[in-house]
Amino acid sequence: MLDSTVTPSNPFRAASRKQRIKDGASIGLLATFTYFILVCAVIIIGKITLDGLPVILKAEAPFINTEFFTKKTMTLNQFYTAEGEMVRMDNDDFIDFQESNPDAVIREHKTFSYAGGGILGPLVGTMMLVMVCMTAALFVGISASIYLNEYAKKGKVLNAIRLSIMNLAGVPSIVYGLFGAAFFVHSPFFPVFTNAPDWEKSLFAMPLWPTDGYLSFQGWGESLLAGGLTLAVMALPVIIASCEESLKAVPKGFREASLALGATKWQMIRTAVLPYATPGILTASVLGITRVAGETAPIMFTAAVAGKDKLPWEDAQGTGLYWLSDMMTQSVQALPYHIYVVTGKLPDDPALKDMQYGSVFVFLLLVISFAMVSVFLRASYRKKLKW
Amino acid sequence: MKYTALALGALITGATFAEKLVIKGSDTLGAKMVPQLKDAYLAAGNKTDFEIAAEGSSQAFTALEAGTAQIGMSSRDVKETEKNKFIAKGEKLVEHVAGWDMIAIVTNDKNGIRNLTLKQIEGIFTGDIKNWSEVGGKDGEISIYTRNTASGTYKTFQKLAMAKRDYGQKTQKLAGNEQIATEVAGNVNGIGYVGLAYADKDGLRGIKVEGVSPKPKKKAEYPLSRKLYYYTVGEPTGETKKFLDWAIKSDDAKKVIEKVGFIPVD
Amino acid sequence: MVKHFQRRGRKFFGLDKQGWIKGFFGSNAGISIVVLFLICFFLVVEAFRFFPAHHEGLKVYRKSGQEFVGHIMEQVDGYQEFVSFTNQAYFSEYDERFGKERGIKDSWEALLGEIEDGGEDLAEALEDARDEEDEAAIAEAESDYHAFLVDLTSEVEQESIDSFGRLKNQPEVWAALLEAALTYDPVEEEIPAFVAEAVRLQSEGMRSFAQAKDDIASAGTGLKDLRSKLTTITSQIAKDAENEKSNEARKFAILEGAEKLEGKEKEEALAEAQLIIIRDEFPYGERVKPLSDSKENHQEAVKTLREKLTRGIANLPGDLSSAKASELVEEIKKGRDRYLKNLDRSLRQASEWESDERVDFGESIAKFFFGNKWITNSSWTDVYGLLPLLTGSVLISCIALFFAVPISIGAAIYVNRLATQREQTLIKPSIEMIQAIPSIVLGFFGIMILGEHLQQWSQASWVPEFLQIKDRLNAFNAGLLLALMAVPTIFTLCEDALNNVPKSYSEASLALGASKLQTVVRVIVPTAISGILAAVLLGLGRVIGETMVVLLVAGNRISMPDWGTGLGIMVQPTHTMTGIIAQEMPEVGPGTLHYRALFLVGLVLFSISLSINIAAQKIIKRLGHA
Repeated sequence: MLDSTVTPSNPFRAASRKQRIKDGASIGLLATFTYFILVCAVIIIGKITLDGLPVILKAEAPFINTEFFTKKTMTLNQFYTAEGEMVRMDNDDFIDFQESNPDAVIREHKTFSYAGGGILGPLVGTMMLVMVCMTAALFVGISASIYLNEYAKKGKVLNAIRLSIMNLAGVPSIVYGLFGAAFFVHSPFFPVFTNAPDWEKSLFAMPLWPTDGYLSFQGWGESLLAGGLTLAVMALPVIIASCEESLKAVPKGFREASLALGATKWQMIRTAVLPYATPGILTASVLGITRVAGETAPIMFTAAVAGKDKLPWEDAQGTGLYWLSDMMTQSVQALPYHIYVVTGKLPDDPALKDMQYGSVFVFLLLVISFAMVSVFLRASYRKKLKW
Repeated sequence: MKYTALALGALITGATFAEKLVIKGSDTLGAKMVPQLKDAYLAAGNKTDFEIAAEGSSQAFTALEAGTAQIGMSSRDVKETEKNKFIAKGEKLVEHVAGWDMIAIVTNDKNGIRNLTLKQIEGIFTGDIKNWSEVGGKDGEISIYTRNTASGTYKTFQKLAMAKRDYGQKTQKLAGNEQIATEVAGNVNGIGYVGLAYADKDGLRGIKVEGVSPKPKKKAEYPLSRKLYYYTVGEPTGETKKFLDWAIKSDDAKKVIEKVGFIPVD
Repeated sequence: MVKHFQRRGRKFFGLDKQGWIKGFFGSNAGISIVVLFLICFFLVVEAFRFFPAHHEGLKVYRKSGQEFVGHIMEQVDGYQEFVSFTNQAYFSEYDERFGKERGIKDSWEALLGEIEDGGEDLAEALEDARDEEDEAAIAEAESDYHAFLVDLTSEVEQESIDSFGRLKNQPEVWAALLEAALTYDPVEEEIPAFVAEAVRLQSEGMRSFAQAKDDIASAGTGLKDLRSKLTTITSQIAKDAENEKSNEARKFAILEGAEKLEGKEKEEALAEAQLIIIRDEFPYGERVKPLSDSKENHQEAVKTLREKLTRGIANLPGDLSSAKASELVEEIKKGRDRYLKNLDRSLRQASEWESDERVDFGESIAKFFFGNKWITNSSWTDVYGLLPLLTGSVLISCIALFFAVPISIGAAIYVNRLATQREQTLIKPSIEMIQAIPSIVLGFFGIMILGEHLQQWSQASWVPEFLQIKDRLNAFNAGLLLALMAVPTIFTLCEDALNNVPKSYSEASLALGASKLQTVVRVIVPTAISGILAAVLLGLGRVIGETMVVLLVAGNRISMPDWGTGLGIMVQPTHTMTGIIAQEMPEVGPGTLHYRALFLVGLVLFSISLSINIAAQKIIKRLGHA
């Protein structure tokens, strides 16, 4: 079965020249494949960094283009002055400019929607979505994994549940988006606090005396909550699976010793299991963030809009719970969707380049750094995992 | 327990909501014209909150019906089936002409074709005509770029240029005017249609249709010109009315409309 | 036993503290399980409600007679291919033999267009002056016009008039054209002699071909007219039937509204309400009468088409100077019999159409899964057929895996068995990092950079013509990017599989004198093959479910691939299942047929990825023990 070069006469004979060349060439080819992958990744990341980094940097202190992070997206104006010099100006600056120089010559005035200002709106939107998602997913996911691992009876049912959870981790993200649209956006089971219930859609609305508002079951519409929870549902299988893994890694002896000392089940979990599983759970949560923060498809029709002037909390009306409810049911801009809008829906014009590469670079940086943290955490966690 | 209840009570406080103007619908209006009208409107000292979403004209009517928008933008007039939904609810859909748009047929400027008849355009977009040589050009398979199905332009174009026939299977459906312009500018054998505002781009040529070039002053003769609409449920009131009046009639608004390449209502 | 040491806590609702804690965790587990179950539930419910609604739609399609017209459309579409091919052949031959004459004719017309465009006002002035017979005014207008012509001819560029470069090497002809333009009179509109001569020459030279071409082009006129006429009728029927559904609600609404009105307005509203008829069944029978009546016309039109087409094809000239033209004529002759056979079949189907025939429910299912068209928001009828989307998804996945599989398996072997320790610690996390690059970023790269470069590279001379990229956004571009996305998945899982091969295997092999490579190829890979297969499958799962890259880069053309181009289908634009959901979901209202069709596509996607996952697990289980 082995190669014919191996003859019984001399098993330790050196490989023939031909064989060595073949070996060397094949190994070289495999190495080329490996480095080819890395080169591809470096080209992509390098190109984006090369064009994106200058957008967020500045020549003078503080060396970071803070405007890009603190301004909202707005229209970009491009025109030529009397001297034939091309000027690009965010819309707010442009309005000021026109007010202070009413006689200025403006030629070939062109405007580009969503291409000016900064990415405050999308950035805030993405962060809030991730926050909503992680709050829900971690809370439910960790508790569920504790139950599955510590309380649930071992057996076929548990295995079946684990298997289905594992399988759901492989479902395409757009399918989660569909589910989110049907469940969180359109179905009327979810309540909002409002003074103007949408009577058409509302299942029922409960007046909340003494305010003039209602608790109305009318669904959330395209909103922070709907988008965040859709992402949470998507992250859930990953989080449950990896939390369970880290709970399983805690040796059985710890539990038995704890119980033998008279601890209750909860005391046992709190003192003998969770402390040792925490690093693993942390890794799991970062892994979850990495998975959802980079996603566009699930929020496309559950939360994201192309343009919005105000941040969710600026836009929210009312006070107290009403304010909270209104804020959470606002639609938001989100960084990945913003990238889709400025590349997929707008023209290929040099004027947009800064916005395009700037947003992509920031987004890439954000996601990659999460990924790096999770890789790092996992590596150090594995090292520690030696009892 | 008691404190929690008290705290909850404190949390549920006032619920007065201010009016926010939500405008949804056509990409033709919503990508450039309306956002810039909004900017000019705010610059003129008005204080209103806006939210603009532009996914396509169909969105205008679904959003108006669902009550999630006060103004719908549409680049086609309302369909019977859409109108019926409002009538059935005892509501009236009111139409406001926002301006004129001309659908420009664009080709790559390296393509020698300068003029097409409506019949030829119908043939090309339905897939009957497959090769540029059939309409007098050089040999080369035609690549067709159209808007996606939600777009009002998609429907209007069917009506104006294609005798209401369906698009050929080989058409590529793209999200926006801008994308079509980019693709055609990069493909010698490409053809597409865009709003007049988008036809002015390097590498692109807005060709003549039936011998008439797409220029604002020829809006009456040009076979592919159309009206753009705002829709409201019932006669507009309050903020909505104020904005619409300004956006349709004021000189400032007309300037903006011209600037983005549309033709204001006379 | 343990209980013995525990303090008993106070009970709330029959549960002690431990019970409550367990309940808390349990309820969260419950929530997750319920939510995960709900995903399936919502998908299935929305998706399955598609079929009854689709069935209704198909019923209307048959009842309203649209089905009948559909057959006619099919016949016309097939026939149009002949027209298109004949035209192409004709113009190819034309260019080959009369390129110069065509250049003269077209350039003259283009030049005339420029003159008329720019000199409209001047020409009018001249005409007015001549009408009034005012000598001085005529002289002035003429000199003005002449000045305009001088300006124009000195400025005009040959490239912009002779846009196809047919007169590129004929400077003397171009000069003659300009000369002729200088003396052009806008009122007389006379054609210069040499232009007229060129027109005569070409029309004579191409006469017999033109005759055949016209025969073919006019063969379908009758059928096309019938198509337009019946399209309008049946669309109206379908629309009326649809409108009548809301009649009851509309009448009710108007009556309710009338209550609030007074006097004349109220009467008007009541009268309007009176006009609305509410009946159980829309009278399709009477409405489709014109269609049943036109069955004979249809037979007649098809007969004419047959005769004229056959005659036209027979008359196509045989000895052509253009190679392309002869090729096309050859193809036309070959395609004729097949088309005529299809025509017969289609004609029979059309004549068998009956408005009141039953529509099987199975048709609603079959038409979705085996339909090769996806047409939405149509002015005619919406068609939901999965095949073009499925083939698009599969095509792109194949391209992606074609590149990703060898590369990532190779890399896994290299890193796991052949690389140095330092390389391992560097490469593994780097490849894992690739997994974190969001798909929208890759899509961005594809649309902004890769597409254009691929297009340029494909123009290189060594690339066969069918692989030259015409559309910047196409399956190949998307496939390459998806390959990069699949690499980390396949690589990581492969590497794990290789890792699981017991050390003793490779030690034994090496001890027997096998080289490193031999050990890898003959011992380790065969042992790990189940893991590698599973890795490839999961890579496929990742690729087929990817959305943003294909939405941005695949080109969004919903049609079956053009099989005739062979491997050329790789560089054609295409659309995918994920892409269609992302593209059309924002535009549809919940509960509509279109909405449900998208959910059904989602369900198909869900089932595919689920079966891929399960298959991967099975493979590991079964082969892993062997």
